[in-house]
Amino acid sequence: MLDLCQPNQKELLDRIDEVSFAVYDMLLYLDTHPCDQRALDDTRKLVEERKLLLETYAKFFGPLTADSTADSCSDSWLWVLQPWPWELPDKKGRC
Amino acid sequence: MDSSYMNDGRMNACSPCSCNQSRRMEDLRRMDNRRRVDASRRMDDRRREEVSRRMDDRRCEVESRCMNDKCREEAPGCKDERCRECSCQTDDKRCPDKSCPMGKFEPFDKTDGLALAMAYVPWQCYQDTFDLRKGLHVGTIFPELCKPFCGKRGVRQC
Repeated sequence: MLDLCQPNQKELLDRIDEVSFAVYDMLLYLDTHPCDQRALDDTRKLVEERKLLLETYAKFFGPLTADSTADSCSDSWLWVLQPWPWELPDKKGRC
Repeated sequence: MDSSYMNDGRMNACSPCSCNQSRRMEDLRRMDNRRRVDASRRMDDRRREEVSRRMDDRRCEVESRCMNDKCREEAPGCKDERCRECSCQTDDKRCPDKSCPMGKFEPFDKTDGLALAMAYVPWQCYQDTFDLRKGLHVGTIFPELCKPFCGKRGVRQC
């Protein structure tokens, strides 16, 4: 688990990408195995982790999705003020 | 009329008046019998055609439902029709002719009994997943679904 007190933006984004992809892949599995309890448990853990990561990212660097716009501590609308994914200095073409 | 008819007519002509009435009656009876025989033969032919047509229809219906692609294989040199008939009609897939190569046929392939030109997707069972970083890198978190393309220019590269 990442150090949530001093997160590195790139590492945090990498982790969000990894977990988000895993969640999406698990959703595809559950589409054909809706009663697989072990897969359901793992999916819930991944969804919780993704939610926590998005909240953390929004708290320190601005929201990544519309769902986490309220997680920012800023008084301004960071959704439009923060750099776009392709404007991040160390991540070209990132979404 | 042939001579045998004439002889028969004479033998049957037992009327005392010895007129030709009995021969005419006999002639009419024979003609009637011939008509009946011909009609019966025509009926038999029609029945045979009907039965044959029904059998052909049934064979076509069976073959269209057949799941075994080997049933249409023709054993070289074997004269037995059962070599060529659809395996749906019999549980024994072996050819009754001992000298026929089909007689040695034993179903061993896992795909035996499956139809051609059909795609099959085995059921996936949940197992251990990749490390999430690797999963993102290879495009799936399920190791059993990780199928990298290893071919290049007709040869295997990895």
